[in-house]
Amino acid sequence: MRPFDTGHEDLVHDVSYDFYGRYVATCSSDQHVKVFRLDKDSNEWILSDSWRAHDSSIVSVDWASPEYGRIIATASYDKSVKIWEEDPDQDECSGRRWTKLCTLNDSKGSLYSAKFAPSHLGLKLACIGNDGILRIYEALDPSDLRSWTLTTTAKVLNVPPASHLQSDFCISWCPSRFQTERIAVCVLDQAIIYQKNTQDSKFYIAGKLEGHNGLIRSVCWAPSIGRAYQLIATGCKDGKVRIYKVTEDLNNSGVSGTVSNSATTTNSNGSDISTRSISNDNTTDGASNQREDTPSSNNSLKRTNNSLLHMPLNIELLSAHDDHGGQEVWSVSWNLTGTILSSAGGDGKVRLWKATYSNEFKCMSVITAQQT
Amino acid sequence: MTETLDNTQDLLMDVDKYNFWEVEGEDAAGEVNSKDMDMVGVDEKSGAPVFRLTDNNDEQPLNENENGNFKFKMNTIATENMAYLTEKDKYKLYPSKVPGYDNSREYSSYVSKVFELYNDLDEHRVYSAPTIGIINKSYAREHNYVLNVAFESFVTELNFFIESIKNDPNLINRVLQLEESITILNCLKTIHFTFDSLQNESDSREQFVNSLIDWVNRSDGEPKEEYIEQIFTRNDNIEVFNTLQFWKLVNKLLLRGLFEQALGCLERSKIMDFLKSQCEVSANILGDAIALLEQYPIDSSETFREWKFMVLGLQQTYSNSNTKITGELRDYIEDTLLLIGGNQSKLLQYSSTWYEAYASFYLYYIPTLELSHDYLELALSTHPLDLTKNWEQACVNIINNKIYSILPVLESLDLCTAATTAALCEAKGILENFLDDDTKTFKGNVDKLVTPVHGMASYLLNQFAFELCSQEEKTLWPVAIGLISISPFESASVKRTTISEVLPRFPFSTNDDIEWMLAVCAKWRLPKIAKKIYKILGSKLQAEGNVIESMTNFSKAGEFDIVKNQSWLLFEEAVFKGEPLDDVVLNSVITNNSNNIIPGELLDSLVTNAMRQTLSPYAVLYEFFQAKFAGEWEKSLQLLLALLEFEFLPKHYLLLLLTKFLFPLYLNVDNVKMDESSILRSINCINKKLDCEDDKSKKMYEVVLEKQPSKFKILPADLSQFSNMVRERLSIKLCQEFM
Repeated sequence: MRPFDTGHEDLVHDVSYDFYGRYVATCSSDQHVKVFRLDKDSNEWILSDSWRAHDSSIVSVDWASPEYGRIIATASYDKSVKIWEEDPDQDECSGRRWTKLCTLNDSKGSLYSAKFAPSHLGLKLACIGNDGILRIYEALDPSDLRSWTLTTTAKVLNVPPASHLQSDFCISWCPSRFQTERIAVCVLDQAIIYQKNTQDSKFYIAGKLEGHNGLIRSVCWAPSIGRAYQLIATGCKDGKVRIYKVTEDLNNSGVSGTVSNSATTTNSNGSDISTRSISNDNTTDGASNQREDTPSSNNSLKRTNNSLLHMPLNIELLSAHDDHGGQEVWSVSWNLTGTILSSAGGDGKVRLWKATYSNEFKCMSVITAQQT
Repeated sequence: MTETLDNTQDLLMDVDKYNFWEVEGEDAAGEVNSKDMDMVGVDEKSGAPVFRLTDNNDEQPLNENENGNFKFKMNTIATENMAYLTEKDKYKLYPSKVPGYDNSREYSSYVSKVFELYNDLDEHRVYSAPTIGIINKSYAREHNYVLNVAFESFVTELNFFIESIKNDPNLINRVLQLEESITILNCLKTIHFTFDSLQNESDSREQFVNSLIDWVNRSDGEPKEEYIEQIFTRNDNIEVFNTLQFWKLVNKLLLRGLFEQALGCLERSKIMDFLKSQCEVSANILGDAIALLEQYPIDSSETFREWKFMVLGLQQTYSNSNTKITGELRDYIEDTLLLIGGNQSKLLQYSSTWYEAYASFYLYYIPTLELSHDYLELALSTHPLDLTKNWEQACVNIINNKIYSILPVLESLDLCTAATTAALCEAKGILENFLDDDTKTFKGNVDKLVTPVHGMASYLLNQFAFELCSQEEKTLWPVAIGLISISPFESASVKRTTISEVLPRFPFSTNDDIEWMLAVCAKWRLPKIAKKIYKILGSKLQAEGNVIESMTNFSKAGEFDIVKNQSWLLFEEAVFKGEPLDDVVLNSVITNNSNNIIPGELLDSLVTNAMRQTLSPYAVLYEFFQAKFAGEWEKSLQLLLALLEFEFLPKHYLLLLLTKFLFPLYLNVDNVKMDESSILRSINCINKKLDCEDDKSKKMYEVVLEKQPSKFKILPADLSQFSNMVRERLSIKLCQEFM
C-alpha cells in the first residue's frame, strides 16, 4: 500500500471512514474537505471530490450511518457544523458532488469535534467546542435532512478556556445498541460520561474517567460486541494511553434525581482553573512543565462532586500505558469489533493493543513512521 | 536393504515430505506476517515486532528520531487503516494494514476448510463426561475417534495451506509461523489425539509412532543435507565408518525413527563389505541388526516386545563374542546395538535435543504414554529446552497436559489454527478445568461473555470470528457468522446479540449477499437488523436513482414517512414536468400493468401496501395527464379536483396544483368551461387549504415563479396576490356559468 497525497494545502486535522470503510473523508486547515474512494480493482484511494466547506480550519469530519444516506458532518473553528449530502448525479471531482444540507451555528466558540450518534439512536449529532458546551442536534424528520433541531445542551465547562492557552475537546458515543444512550465528552484534562435518562430524556453525568494529567487529545468508545461491559480508551498529552472499563452499577441502575444538575459546572473562571492546575502540581518533571500551558477543568468539575455521588456507572481504569516515549498520545482508535486498540503518539509510532485472555492489554505490534 | 542407495540424496530424510522451512541465521520465533510490511526490529518497551509504515524507507514521513503530531485511524477493513500527520507540509495519507492479518486467497480456503471440518462435528463439538445414569462407553470412544480424525484432517489442511504458500517469497515469515504451529499440532496430535480411538491397538500404535516421528523430524529438519555430505566427503584415507561422526549420524537417524535413512547411511559407508572381509562375527551381528531395523515393529506392542528381545539377545551375543575388529569400531557397533536395545544412557548420550531423546524412549525403551512424564524428565535433565523457540516450551507443556498454556502461543502465530485447536481440545475434554477446586466458582473474570466463563476455546473462536469480520474478503463472513452460531459455549441470546451487532457491517454487493443477510436475520429473529438492512438498501438505491426499489426497501424497513415523502417528491417532479415521469417501473406500478420489461412477479415483489397508498396521488395525477393529453378536459378537471380535495394533500402541493394546472388550464382561459359544481368544489378547497402564510407554500410559490417560462409569465409576484387572482377568476367562472 502506497502513501498518497491528499492535495490539502494546510494541516490535515481529521480523517474519517464511512460505515463500510470504502470511503475516507479528510479535513484540513485549508478549509477544504476531501473524499477518497477505495478503488476495488487497483486497491488504491482515488479522489472522489474536494470542496471548500468552511471559512476557517476544519478540524473534525464524520460520516453518518448509511441508512440515512451518504451524509457527512464537518466542524470548524468558524464555530459552525455543516451537514453535507452526496449527490451521485454530479461528477466526481467536480466540487459539486456534496451539497450542503444545513449549517448549525449555535456555538459561541471554535468547534473541535462533531460526531454522529450510532444509527440506532436516530440521525443525531453531538458537537463540542471552545465554549465548553456539548450540543446534540437531531434530524427529527427523516425525510427532511435539511432540518436539524438542537435537542440537548450540556454546559461541560462553565467558563471557556483562555484563548492564549492550549485546549482540546473530543467526544465519542457509546456504540452499543444494548446500552442506554451515552457519550464520553473530554474537555481539557477531564473526561465525563453523559447518559440519557429514559424517564425525562435529559442527559446527566453518569461517570468520570479519572487520572488524566494533561489535555485529553482523543477518546474512543469501543464497540462491545460479545462483551457485557464497555471499554473506553483515551490518549493524553501526559503521554499515556488509558483504557477504562465501564459497567452498570447494579446497585444503582437508575439515574438518581440528585444528579439532575450535574451537566453544568459551577462558577469558576478560566484563569482560576489554569492557576489551580499549576498550583496543584508539585512535581517538577517534564510532564508537569508540559502542562503549564494547559488549563484544567478540575476545579470546576470538583465542585460538582456532590452531584456525582450517585453515578450509575462503575468505571475502572484497566490499564495506563506510557509506551510512547513520554510524547503526547494524539489519537486512539478501536477496530470494528473492539478487540484491537490503536494509539498513535508524538514519537511517530502506532501501537496496536490487544486484550489477552486474562484481559490485560498488551502491545501486539508497532508501526513506525520514522525512517529506520 | 533391498536397493542400493548411492548418493547423499537417497540417504536423507525426504525434506519435501516434511516441508521443513528455515531461513539461515533467522529464528522464526516471535516473527509475524510481514507480507506487505517490513519488520524492522523489536520494540524495546514491549518486545513487540516493529514494522515500517511504508514499504520504502525513504517514504517514511518522519526522519529518524523525529517526533510529530502523528495520528492513526482504524478502519472496518483491517487491511485499510490510515495514518497521517497534522504537521506543516506533511499532507499525505499512509494506508496501513494491521500486521499479522492474512488476507490471501489461500488463507480463505484454509479457513473455510477448517470451519467445514469443525461444523461437521455436530454434537461432538461438546465434551460431556456423564457422571450419572447409564454411562455409554461406546459413545465416549466414538467421540474420541471422531475428534482424532478431525484433528488429523485439521493438521492435513494446515499442511496443504503451508504447501500452497511456501514458494511465495513474500510469505517466508508467515510460513515460518505456520511451521511452528504445525510442529506444536503434531506434538498435540501425537500425545492427545491418537491412542483413544475406536480402532484396534495395532492401528493406534502405528499411528502414534508415525505421528511421533513426523513431529520430531518436522520440528527442526535435522540432520541437514550438508552435514551428511560433509561426513561422507573425506580428504583422508580413513573409512567413514571408522569415524565417530558417522556413527553419531547413524544413531541420530535411528533415534529419530528414520530407519530407512540410517540403513542407507550404513550401506553407503560399505561397512558390511569391510566387516565381511575382516570380521565375520561383527558382519553377522550388524547384518542381523540391519535386518531387525528393517522390520521395526511399528504396528504392535506385542511384536515390539519380541523384537526388542531379539535386539537385546543380539547385543548380548556381540558383547560376549570375540571379534577380529577391536577398538573404536567395535565400540561404535556396540553402542548402536545398545541404543536400539533401549539403553537409557546411550539414548541420552546420542540424542542432541530433549525431543530426540523423548521420542527415542518410545521407539526403543518402553512404548507407553504412561511413562511420558518420566521420559520427558529424563530427556530434559540431559538436554534442556531451547527457550528461544516457542514450540519447544509448548510441546513440553503438551506432554505435561498443560494445554491452556499453548493456546496463547498458537494465537500469536495464527488465530485460525489456535481457535480450532482450542475448540477441538475443549471438545476432547483435555483443557484444564477452569473451575476453582475449592469454591467451584470460575477462576477467571466472570463478566466477559466470550471469555473466561465460557473458556479459552470460546474466547478464541469468537476472536477469530471477529477477525474474519474485519477481513475485506466477504466470503469469510459466513464462516464468521457460522462460528458464532455453532459455538457450543454461548447461549442463544448472546449469539443473537453478537450477530445483530456484526451483521449490518457485511459489505454486501449482490442480491445473493442481501438474501444471505436477510436469511441470517430470519434465522436469528432479528427484525430490527433486517429493517436496518432494508433502510441501508433503501438509502443506497435512492442515491443511485432507483426510486421504486428504494421505496420498496424503505417500506420493508417500516420507514413509511420516507416512502410517503418519496412519493410526494415523485408527484412534485411530475407536476413541474407537466407530464408523467419517464420511469417504466413507476408507471407500471401505478397502472398495475406488467409488460415485457417488468414481469408481473417482479411487480408484485416491488410494490408494497405502503407504496400503493402513498403513490395513489401520483396515480391520479397520471390519469389526469392521460385525460389532458387526450383532450378530455372534463375528465381531467374531475381528476384534478379529486387531487385538490384529497384529505392528506399537503398545503404546498395544493398551491402547486393550482399554479400549474387549475389556474393556467381552466381559470385563466375563457373558452374552457367549468360547471358550477366544479367551481364550488374548487372554491371550497381553496378556502380550506390555501394558506398564504405557510412557509412551505411560500417557498413552493417562489420555485414556481422561478420555473415559469419568461414568455408566459402569468403569475403575480406574491402568493397572496395569486390567491386573490384565483378567487377572482373562480368568481368570474361562476358568473359565466350562471349566465
